[in-house]
Amino acid sequence: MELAHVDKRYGRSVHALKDVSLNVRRGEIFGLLGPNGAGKSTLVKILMTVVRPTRAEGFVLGAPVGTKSALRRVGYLPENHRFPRYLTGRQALELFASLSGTPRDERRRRVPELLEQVGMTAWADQKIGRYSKGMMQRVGIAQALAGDPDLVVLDEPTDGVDPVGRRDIRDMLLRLKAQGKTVFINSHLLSELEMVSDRVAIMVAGQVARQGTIGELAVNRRSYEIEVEANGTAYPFASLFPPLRGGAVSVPPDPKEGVRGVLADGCWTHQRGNTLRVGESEASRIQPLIDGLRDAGLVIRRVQPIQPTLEELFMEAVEEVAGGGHAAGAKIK
Amino acid sequence: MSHEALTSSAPATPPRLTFGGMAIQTRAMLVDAYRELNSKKLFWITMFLSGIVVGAFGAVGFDETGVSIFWKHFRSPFLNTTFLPIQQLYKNLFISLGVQTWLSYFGLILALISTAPMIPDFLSGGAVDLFLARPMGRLRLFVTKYVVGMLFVGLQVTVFCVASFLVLGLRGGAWVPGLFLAIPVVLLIFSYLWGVCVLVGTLTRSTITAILITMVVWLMTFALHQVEGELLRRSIVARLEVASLDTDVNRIQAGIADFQAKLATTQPTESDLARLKSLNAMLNYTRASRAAGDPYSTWHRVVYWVYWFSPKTTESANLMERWLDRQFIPERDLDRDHRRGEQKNEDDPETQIFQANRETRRLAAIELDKEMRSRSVFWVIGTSLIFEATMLGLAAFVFVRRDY
Repeated sequence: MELAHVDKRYGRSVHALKDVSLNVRRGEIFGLLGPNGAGKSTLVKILMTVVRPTRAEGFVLGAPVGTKSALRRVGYLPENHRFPRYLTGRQALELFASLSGTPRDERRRRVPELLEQVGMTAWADQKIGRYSKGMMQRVGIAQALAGDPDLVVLDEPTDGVDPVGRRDIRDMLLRLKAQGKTVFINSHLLSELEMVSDRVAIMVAGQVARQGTIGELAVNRRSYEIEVEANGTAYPFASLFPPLRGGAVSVPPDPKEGVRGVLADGCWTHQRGNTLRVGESEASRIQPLIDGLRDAGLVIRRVQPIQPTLEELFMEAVEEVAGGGHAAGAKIK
Repeated sequence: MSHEALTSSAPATPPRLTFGGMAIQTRAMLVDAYRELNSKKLFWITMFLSGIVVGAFGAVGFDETGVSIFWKHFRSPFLNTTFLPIQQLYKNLFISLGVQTWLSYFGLILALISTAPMIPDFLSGGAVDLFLARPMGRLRLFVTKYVVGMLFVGLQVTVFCVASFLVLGLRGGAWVPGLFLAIPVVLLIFSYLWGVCVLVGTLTRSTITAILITMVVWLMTFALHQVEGELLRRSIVARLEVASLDTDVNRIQAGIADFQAKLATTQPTESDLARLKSLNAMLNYTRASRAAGDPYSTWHRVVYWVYWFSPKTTESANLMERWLDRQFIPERDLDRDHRRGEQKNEDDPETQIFQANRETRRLAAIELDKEMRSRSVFWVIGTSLIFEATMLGLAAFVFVRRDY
């Protein structure tokens, strides 16, 4: 999936997507994340022809974006989907497989398999109206796979699913990947995405703020964490680095959040209790700090290189864009 | 990433869905519509009520002397097999009770209530996405949904006609295959209203609004039908009256002249003078009526064009009668009926005017009948389908262009 210059305006006032470009490789699990109102669902709906773009270039499975015939090979689970309540799970799978043009023989073979895969065989012939949210989500994922798609687009697939179900879904995603299928997930559960995604894109205010593997996104964002023994001082590092002493030290907004600051060389720092985090990826450049701490009489208990979590990368991207004018009304999930 | 770069690296476009694939999709939507209807209690309630109506046909029997309902016999000069063939009697019963009363009104109301949620439910958030994200054009999806929405009426009418056909055949020996014409006729009537219901449902996504506005449109078309017919009748009468009023004026003037000549030779009594006064008053009234001309034709033209573009539910319901019976009153019968009991004293001006008025009414009835007959089946159906196509076109445009 290669998207370029995807733009969507609703009227004159709402600019939902601003020149979005994405590249999803065949056979990978791609995670799309972002705060509410970032435009993730709009982008997914444009891919699925549910929303018409103001402008879009690029291809999905070799066909220009918006080509209906390409959807034969695409499975889709919408967010907050609503299946007809008068159907049973089995009937719903048959209906949506048929709408994807799947022949009868293939449907007969695949539907029981899929019900088995999502653990819904026992409930297959019950009306959907009797299903719990998690069960509907399982059937939803099964219907997305009913047409044996090459690309599976899942919008919040673990929404309403219990931890066991989430694990099952993760396993299924990995199985799909092993089968060579491409999976595109839109989710706000960062830990879930972190566990399965090969690459991610972070969308903020209708734009792609970051895109790549988590490793790529973390480059230049690794840090070191230094822990010292408590010496009864609230901010043991405060006196050590004059730049830290700025307003941040004197008026911490929230003691639990810690105190943020910047070193003279531009390196960011984050002090929380007896722990200092320094935004420096080179071990050699940490040494003067460690020496300084020792000279100040502090006892160092731990020095540890830290890889940023997806959540940290996400928050950083959101804050970065927010600093430059975050979308009005957008909240961070 | 430039467009050229994307194009050059693009793999082959997936093939379009074959006819077989499209047939799979259409069949799936048809089965889905059936399951949806099957899940509604109202579908089965309507079926049960249809059974009662068919049962009523079976309860009615005709013989040479009258009609029997269950075991009770009623003598009737008209409802007997001597006056009309038994096939005709049962046909009339089927048309008046089955088609024009049950299917065309009560059945359709139940059908509208049952099917009205189909479009708003289909368009609700989270449901429409599942259908739109398929290899199926939006227009085809919409048209298929529209057509399968008529399944309710199609099934109900078909079952009703088959049951009626069997009951009338077995009970009365009247095997009338023409009864099956009710299927296209009732489907047509429903489709006009379904077009309105789908448009409102598409625009508002509200079942209640769709039902209410469709009912209002239905009532309006019924009112339009009545108003247009009445204005046409009045316009025809007025036109004929204008033509005859000139003759009346001459007649009255001649009558007055004759009467005055008669009075000149004799001594007028009070009665004669009163008579003269009455004739003069009649002359003035007739002249005034002539001056008024035809005040209805302009209004009729306006209402006619509104009616032209409206769905003709009543006239469509009458198509069964037109096709099966062709029971228009022959001109000679009208002529005979209207001449019955005419006054014989043709010299009296009042009698002449009275007879002229009768003649005007007779001619008006014939002309109205001719006008109504000139509105062919194609006119009734064609103009109604133009209305339906307009509704459907608007709804399809909104459906295809909208973001969900």
